[in-house]
Amino acid sequence: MESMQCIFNWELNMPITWTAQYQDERANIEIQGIIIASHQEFNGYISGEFSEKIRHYSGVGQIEVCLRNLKDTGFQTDDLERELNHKISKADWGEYFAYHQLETSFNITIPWPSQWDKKKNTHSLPGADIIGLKREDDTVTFVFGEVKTSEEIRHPPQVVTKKADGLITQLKRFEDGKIISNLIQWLLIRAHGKAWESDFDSALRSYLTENRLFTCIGILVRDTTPTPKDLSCIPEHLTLRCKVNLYAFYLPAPLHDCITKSIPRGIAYAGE
Amino acid sequence: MPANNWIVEAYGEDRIKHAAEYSQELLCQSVFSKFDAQIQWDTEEDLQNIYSALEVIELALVDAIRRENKKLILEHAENAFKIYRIIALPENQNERIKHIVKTACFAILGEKNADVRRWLNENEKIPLGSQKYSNWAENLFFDTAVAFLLTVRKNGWQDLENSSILISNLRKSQKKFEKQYLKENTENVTSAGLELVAFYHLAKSIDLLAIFFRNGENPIKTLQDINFHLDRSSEAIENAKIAEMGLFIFWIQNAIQLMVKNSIWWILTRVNSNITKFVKQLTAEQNRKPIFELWPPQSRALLEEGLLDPVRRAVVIQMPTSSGKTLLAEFRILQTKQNNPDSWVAYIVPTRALVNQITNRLREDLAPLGMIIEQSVPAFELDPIEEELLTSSEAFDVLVTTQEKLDLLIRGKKLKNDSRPLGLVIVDEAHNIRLRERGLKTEMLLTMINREFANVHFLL
Repeated sequence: MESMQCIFNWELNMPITWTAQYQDERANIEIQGIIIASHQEFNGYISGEFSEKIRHYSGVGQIEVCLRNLKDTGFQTDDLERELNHKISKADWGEYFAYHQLETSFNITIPWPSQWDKKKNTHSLPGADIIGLKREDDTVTFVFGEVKTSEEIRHPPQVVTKKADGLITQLKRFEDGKIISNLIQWLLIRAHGKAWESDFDSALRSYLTENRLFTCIGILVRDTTPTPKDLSCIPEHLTLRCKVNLYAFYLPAPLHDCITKSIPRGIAYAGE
Repeated sequence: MPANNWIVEAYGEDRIKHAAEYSQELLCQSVFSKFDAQIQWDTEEDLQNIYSALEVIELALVDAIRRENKKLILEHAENAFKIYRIIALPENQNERIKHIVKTACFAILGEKNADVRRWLNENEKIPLGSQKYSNWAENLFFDTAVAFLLTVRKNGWQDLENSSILISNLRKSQKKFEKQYLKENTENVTSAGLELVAFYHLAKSIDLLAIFFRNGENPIKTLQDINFHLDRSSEAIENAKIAEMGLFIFWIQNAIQLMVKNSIWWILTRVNSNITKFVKQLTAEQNRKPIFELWPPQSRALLEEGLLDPVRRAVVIQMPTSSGKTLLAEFRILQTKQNNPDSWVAYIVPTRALVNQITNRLREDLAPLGMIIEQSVPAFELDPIEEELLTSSEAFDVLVTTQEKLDLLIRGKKLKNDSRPLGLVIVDEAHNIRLRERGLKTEMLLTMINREFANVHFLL
């Protein structure tokens, strides 16, 4: 497939060079398939800069801090100390990879790296893999999105189409204003005194004055041959009124190798 | 940081005002039916507008909390409470308890403590009992939420004891259920585990709160301990990365801090020994209706307006009817007696019926502390028994009477300032001073007292 010009922001300090392999635009939905230009550059990136980023995104060290004073509550700590550990899954790795690309190439700040999207009995409202602030010209908007990672040789992969928790299903959830509202409230609580506070305030102003304006992002991380078939089925299922960006990142090496090369010391790979 | 209240302005102040007024109107319409009666919305669009406004009010409330803007916290929380009260309670058990907890938190932040206690008492659908749970996290979440609601409701010692019992039972159940729960969540064990950690700290802070309401020991240290566990809870839920539960804990945290600061212990125990004894009596287990917290106007009068400041000779309290002025008067009586044990207090009320009512109330509250409360009912002349009572050197500590009778006693030289100084004059219903004839009489009486009795204090 012929290379096309990429629409993301090349002026930024990008750690690796990406090229758009395919792109499409339908109504409010933009699709891009993106490949890495240099294998050598990529290898250096994932074992160096990105490895450090995994440490940041995963919050390593926080578990020990959180468990430190638990004994004072009168509850037991033994099982929690044993079970809670720093393991990251394939899905976690894909999310961290997506965060870093958004932060370095798309001018999006990720103030609260989130990985929770499993609905449990006590939670009625799922979170979002991506909660961010996007700066474009002089305006800042909220970004909410989902990330899926797959090695499956099927186009589209099941992580896109699965009814229960596929990418389409999860993006459709953003039609429910309550989810977005909860996430914004939570960010507002955390915003005080943070470097991103003024961007957050701008995004909230846009959200309130421009009829709940935000951007929705869907990301697929793959280690297969690039093909538009991976994302082309999504637009027909999405009725979101907001702008939607769909990106497929094609890794130049098997996913498993990428993960093992990039996981820093002190964090284990949980496998699938 | 942008201007105060910018969130409401960006959305439209009129829209928020309209939503609050509309909610109030609907609440008034349903006031004669049961509290949980289904509100009849005019149109689906009205309902959507209310939800939309509520989203903005909640955001504005978070913003006001981050700016520590008390006025806006009060305004937004009150509006949120108004709207939450009229939204139908969800059928789902977990959703319902979240809704109730949020309603309670908004009420506390909006200084609607009395309203929410009544709402919790009268709403039959509030699940303040044991439920069936599908896993440990649900059990922990639900019982912690109920324990919190019991500390808000405070129907006597039983609620506070039940709150502690619920937390204690959770500690016992942890060993049995936690391991299995973590096994079932291996895929997200870090998040699931940290969520439990957040709730263990929250449960501990609620337990500390319930114990504090009962014994009032060491208020400052208790608040520090409560804040310590609330901070750990917040830290853990942030790392668990569960926004919805993070918000849930945020609202409870803010409400709990205010509940401690509104507690009678926090406000009054360090004032003097008389008042400490009185507070112990007010909160005692055997008390039929123990008082664990003061209403916000009472707290403000004591903490911010200097009601118990001995330097202030005249204090005017302007509070709505039934908002607890008599209790404030009792605190002031105790303060007066502490500063000068030999002094006596004149409590002026407008009618004979009120003489009886106030005398009974003061006797009930202050007689156990050794105070003698007497009344002098309106009459044109003193009878010999009454005269003896009033002129005896250790006759009474508080005399409840009308202004006419007090005028008669002072003019008749029956109450002298030489051996037993008049320490305090309390005028109930002092707003009547605006009434032409009676108001003039009150004013003349107070002028005469001020002239005849040196160093007397006034509470109007």
